[in-house]
Amino acid sequence: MGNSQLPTDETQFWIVSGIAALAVLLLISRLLRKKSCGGCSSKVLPKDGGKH
Amino acid sequence: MIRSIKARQDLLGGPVRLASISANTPFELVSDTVPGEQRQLLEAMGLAGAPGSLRVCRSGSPCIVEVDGTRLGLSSAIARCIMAVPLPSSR
Amino acid sequence: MISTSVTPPRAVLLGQPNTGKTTLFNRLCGLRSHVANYPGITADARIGRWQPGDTTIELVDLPGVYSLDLDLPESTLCRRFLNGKLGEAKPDVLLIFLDASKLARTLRLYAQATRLEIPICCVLTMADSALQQGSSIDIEVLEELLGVPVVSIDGRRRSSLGPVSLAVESATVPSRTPPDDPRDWSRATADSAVIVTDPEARATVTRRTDRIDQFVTHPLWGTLTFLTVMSALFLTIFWLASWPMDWIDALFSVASSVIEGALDAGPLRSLITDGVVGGVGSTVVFVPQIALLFFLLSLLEETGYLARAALLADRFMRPFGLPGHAFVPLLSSHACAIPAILCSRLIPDRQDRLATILVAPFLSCSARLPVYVLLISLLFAGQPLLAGLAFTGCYLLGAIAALLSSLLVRKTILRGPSRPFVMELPPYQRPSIGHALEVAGERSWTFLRKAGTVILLICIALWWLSSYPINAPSAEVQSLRNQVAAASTVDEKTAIEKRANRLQAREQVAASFCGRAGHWAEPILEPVGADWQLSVAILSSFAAREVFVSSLNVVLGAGDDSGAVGSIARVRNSVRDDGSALLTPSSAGGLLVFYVLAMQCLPTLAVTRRETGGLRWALLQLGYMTALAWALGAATRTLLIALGWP
Repeated sequence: MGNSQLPTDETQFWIVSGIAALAVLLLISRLLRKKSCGGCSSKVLPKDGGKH
Repeated sequence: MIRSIKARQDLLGGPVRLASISANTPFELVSDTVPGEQRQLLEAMGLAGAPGSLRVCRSGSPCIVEVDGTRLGLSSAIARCIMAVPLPSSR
Repeated sequence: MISTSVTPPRAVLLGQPNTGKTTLFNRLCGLRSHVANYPGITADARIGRWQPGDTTIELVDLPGVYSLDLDLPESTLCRRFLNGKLGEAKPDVLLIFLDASKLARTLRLYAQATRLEIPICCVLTMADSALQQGSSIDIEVLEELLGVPVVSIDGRRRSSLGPVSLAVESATVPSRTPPDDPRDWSRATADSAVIVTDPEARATVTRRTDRIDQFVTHPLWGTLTFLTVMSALFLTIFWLASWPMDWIDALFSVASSVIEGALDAGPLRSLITDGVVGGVGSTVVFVPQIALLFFLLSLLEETGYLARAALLADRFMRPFGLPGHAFVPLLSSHACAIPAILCSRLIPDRQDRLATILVAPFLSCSARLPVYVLLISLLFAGQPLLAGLAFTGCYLLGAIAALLSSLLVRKTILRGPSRPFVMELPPYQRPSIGHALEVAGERSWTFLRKAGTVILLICIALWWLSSYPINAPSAEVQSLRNQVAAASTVDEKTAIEKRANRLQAREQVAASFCGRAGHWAEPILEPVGADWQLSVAILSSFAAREVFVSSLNVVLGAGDDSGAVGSIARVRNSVRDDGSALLTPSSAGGLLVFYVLAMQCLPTLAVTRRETGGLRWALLQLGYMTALAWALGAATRTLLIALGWP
């Protein structure tokens, strides 16, 4: 058993719910701004798309 | 240039398809029937356009040739479209 | 020569394929892009910042081209970029790459670039290859003939890069312009600059290369060599990686225990142990395999063998409607389908390109590795040889599905002949272990970064969805709790309490948002072997397939009280609602086939849409792959049950 002084379960619920909501927001923002593979750390010239 | 190739053909025999040349013999490109865009790339790689010497490293399918010190792998379909005449040293 | 404006000056790297451009770019910018020993791996221009001394220079790595005048995508990109027609200003300096071992050929591109009237400096590479062939380049003569500075470098050795900044500083618009047809000029220039040091060396190298080429491109011996090399590659990965994987697994289990000891039970502790440590840990455990795969593939690429394999592959791929050009993208697809789809821009024919893009995601990418390892470990526990063969089988199944699907699309929606194949074959060379280690390190770091960001965020969200809404304990749980009070011995009390906890946790997950979604999807996914818990993992891995393992651990973690050490052991010990094993051989087999073939990757679909210029190809890819995966997964499970595997 732990020996920490954690807040009540209800307070903990609001904390974890806040963390989960933040996680979802971050995830959405990452997916929206992602223009290239996560495997590449470099920029890709945007103007080439569809030119071929 | 064309006249000199013609003279050599008369001397050494007519042009043959790349696909049917045996390995390790030096040849000179004379003509090709490669279509459109593909021909541009071959020209840039030294395999079409103007006469140039080449060596067949591996005959058959796939075909490997050496042009300007570079090895190129060709499918048999392309090798059939390129015509070459043997260089005098190979005779 | 470089102007001192507010925006940093821009230097562009231009050269024929395989002349060492990307290697130098990576060295100078500290960015890493994939460097392969066959032509045309860079399908996009890449931008980086280079800081020689106090100045900052923007470097652009353009794709390798044989000529600026070709009507091919990479030539068009270079031409438009260099003429300032891509919304960017014309470059300040051109670094043109000349290959010392084939100087005449690479000088032709230089001749074309002189027409652009941009200051030029030349970078001479592959001097070691030239030396091996018994020749060297007189740099002073070459500078004199070209009228621009020339610097010789070895991109792999950092110490040789010092002169590059000096050459860039002294770049100049060439005073002599080569003729419009530069073939004779380039040969004459090369003849003047090349010093033959050992006339016999070239013949020796040529004979050796001829012999190796004869063997590795032989229809029978070449094919056997290819199959042997690939099987050995995957067997080595599976065998060697098992030790570090066990260590990492144990490390995360210890971390979880330590946190459980330090914190009281509650939502926060559960979030940390089940959501964060359990979820991320079960993905990180696969880093050794990913590192080994890229290390060995990089070694293989550098030897020059893979270009020959592409040549050999053309003969086998042609009957399926794919050109040999597709081999490089399809091979890249074993790492990730996204660079593979980007790389397929280099396939000149549109029909060929579309077919390659549609089937590339069938090839087993590194994100599938965690799922394969988990399911194969359950199927063949303690049998490394069978596990290795199953692993190879997964890769083969993906490849076969890709070829047959290509045949199908080329016979139906993408009818028309394929273009003939021509490809440059690089010289055979000893691979650099240091470079392979760099590639492996970079890819592993990318995977870890993904585990630390996207997968972590998905795990946290999934943990919340599997923990809420709070469900009131059932009558059975209440009854067990009452029995705890009435139990006579401590052991009996503990055992009943554990049962009550486990049952309550299972009921909680089943009633959670996740559980409800899993129950909804269960009838659809049941034929491939999934119950509602596995259905949750499959649904959550729609965006990224590697999430399957961590999702399963998050869902199972909530109901797990077995004390199992490690994520694989936890899945092995888990049960379904009826008490039967969660993953039996038949369900593991069905799911394995499902994951080999399913299109569980949102970023790939986005890239397919972008590269094909329409949503319909992406939707076709999604629908076709999912339907095929479901049908063959269900067929596999049925077959295994019929063969007596429960």
